Amino acid sequence: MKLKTLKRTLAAGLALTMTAGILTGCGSKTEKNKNGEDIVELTWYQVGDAQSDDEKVLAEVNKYIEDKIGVKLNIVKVGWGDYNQKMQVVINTGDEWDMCFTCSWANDYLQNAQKGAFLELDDYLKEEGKEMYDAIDSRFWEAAKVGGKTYGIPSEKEIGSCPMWVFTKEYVDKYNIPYQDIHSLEDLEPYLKLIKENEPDVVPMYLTKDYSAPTYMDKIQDPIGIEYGDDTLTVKNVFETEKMQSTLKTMRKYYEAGYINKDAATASDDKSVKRFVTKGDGQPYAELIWAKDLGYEVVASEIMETKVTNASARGALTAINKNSKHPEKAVELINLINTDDYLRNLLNYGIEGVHWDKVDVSAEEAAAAEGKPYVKDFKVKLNEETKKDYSVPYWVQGGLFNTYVLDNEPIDKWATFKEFNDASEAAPSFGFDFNLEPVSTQVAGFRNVLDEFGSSLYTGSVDPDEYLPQLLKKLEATGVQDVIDEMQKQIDEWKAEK
Amino acid sequence: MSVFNRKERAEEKKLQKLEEQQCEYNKIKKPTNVLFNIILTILSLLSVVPFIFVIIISLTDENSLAMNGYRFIPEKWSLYAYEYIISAGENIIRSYGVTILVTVVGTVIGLLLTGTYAYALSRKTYAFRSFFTKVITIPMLFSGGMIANYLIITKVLMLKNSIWALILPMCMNSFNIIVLRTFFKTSIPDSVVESAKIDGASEWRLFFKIVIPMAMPGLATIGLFLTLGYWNDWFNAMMYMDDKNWIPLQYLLIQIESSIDWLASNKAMMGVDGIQAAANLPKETIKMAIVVISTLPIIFAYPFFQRYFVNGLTIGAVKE
Repeated sequence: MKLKTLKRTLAAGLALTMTAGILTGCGSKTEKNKNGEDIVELTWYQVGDAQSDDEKVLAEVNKYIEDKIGVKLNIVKVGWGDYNQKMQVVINTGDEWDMCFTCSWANDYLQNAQKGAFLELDDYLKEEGKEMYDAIDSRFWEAAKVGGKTYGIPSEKEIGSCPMWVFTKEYVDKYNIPYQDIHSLEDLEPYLKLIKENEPDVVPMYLTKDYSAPTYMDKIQDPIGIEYGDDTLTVKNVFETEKMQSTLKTMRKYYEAGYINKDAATASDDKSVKRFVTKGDGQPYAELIWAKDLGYEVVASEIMETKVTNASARGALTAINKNSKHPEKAVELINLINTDDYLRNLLNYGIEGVHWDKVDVSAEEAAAAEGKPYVKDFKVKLNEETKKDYSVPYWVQGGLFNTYVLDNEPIDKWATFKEFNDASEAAPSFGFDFNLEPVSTQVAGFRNVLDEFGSSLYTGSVDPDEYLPQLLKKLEATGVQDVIDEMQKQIDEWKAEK
Repeated sequence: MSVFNRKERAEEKKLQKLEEQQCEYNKIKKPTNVLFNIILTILSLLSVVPFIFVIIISLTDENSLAMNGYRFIPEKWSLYAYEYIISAGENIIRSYGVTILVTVVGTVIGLLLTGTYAYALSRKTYAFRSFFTKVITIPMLFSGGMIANYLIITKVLMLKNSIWALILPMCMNSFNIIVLRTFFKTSIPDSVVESAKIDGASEWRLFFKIVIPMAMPGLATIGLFLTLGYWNDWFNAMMYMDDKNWIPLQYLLIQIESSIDWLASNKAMMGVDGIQAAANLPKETIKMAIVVISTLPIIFAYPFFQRYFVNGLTIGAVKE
């Protein structure tokens, strides 16, 4: 009897605490803003490390958007290395979230869109999102389409990635090297020789294990894709193209001549190594960023014309949860960020007067930039003391073209970006999404083969005459032909529909 | 007094002699001895040298690190990393506090729960013994997986962004319970329990006043496991803690490390964006300084536990 009462009391107590937990957990309190609208709270997952002044800036942001559109924002930042895993858990468990950062290389856009995690935005873009829809380059919207539907709002930035040769300015000046005229791999040869003979301490061509030789192809599923300029849309293995084969031979030649560092296939970037040229993936004014990273001045020239591919145009997007309770508010918010200068720059640089100040543009610079789009009449100077407390990846939050430029950047930076984007040509395969479901086992095997041979072939560390056939044989064994056939089939269907 | 001292000293001498004799008897051959010493020296160097290296790097000047790479004797020494942690790294100091809090609270709760559970299972008179043994054995063999855990902790227990999410998931562990149960069984004779009962001790008094003092070595062993587990845990923080104010030190370190790795391996995809992002991460020397300050306390905790640890491992080895 005594035991029974004890059990009952325990059960009742447990039930009580659980109910209490549920009540407090879900207790909804609606706040209203000054226009009398209900304020809704939106949760936004972003990639990037948390900053110590996040709360301060967010409070300022909320003050502004609560009154403007009745939204209160809650930003969750997840570190670079954890973002993929974390978002997988958050999406799969049906956790509560409204918006998240997605792209071709993190929290994979295509996969999530295909499995239905993201909301279709086409209807919202005609209403709440109309303004930004009109403002952002239509090719970004085209790239954001998966199976004809839009699942993400692109951040407007550089539309293609532009492979470049990066030269150390010291040696370019010393030997008077006409770097602007150097484009292809073959163009480099006389200057590599020059440096090799005259500068014994300098590595003429410094490469690391993540280097890939200049590739004139959209590798839809590495190593398979469509060559640039091939309008017949023939799917090929990159290692079977003539261009790649001759490139690899040239790399081997350079390696044997001692132009390339001996440990290239295994090295990771060591900034203390003095080098004449290396390869980088750039954008307008990338020299400034590289120079800051390396600690000395560099100049760069484009290896090839920039091509727009699905992967490059999906560099940064914001998607909305299929189960979000307030999708229209979320779209409204992203629209506001992309069109409202105050809000955009608040998120970007922090609070004016605390994290940054406005500085004047010199008269001649302003005159030169007159009439160009996206040009403001001031620049931003970051506060040396507080800038480390709020430093975020800019393209995670929205488009870049309405952000202010920094004092060490040209005032017409974004106009140049716009020109760069306009000049970039779409690759023939732009807009095609490969559904790898039917051949996923074959594709899974590629990685191993490429890891085994890729970097040693690309850097010229091994003889392509001997190792290229081996690579092809191994790829053949994992079923490369099945994948080529499947992709060809899908791309033919896609072409017929287009 | 002096007589007593002398007597004691004589006793000691005798003991020493006895020991020496025994040593003589157990002595290993000289070459073997040298060989063993060499092997052990190498082994201990393998574990000590990297740590000394880490300390040296944390004391190296950032610029000379960039110019010359890692060196045992750096060109220029600098205390910059530690100054940075003290002056600018409020979050590092805060995380340090979180780690200590979680470790202390977690170890105390964990010991209490593990100890009581294991003790109950060790008593032959306990009616549901076999049932509760099964209850703990099953999760040792099968686990619900990441998604199920996440759902339970965030949706049912509502622990997301709560400090308890860092403590509760780790405080009970089947393995610890089984170790401790076996320990109770072998080291605490039933007759001791019985005699205490006859003297009128209640179950609680019996547990706290008789069983715990007798089982100190076992509890210390489990305590060490728990302390190490909590101190080194980062996974729970990654899963359940979005609030940057409650992030433990190890996760902070892992975050920095995995961010750097990830940015490096996705360089080709991200282009200059990746370089810009990497520029905001702490520099090498600061990373190493965090490693040093996160390891030191646990090094000091070892000798404290070790006293019981050795004891605990040997107890129960001999059957009556």
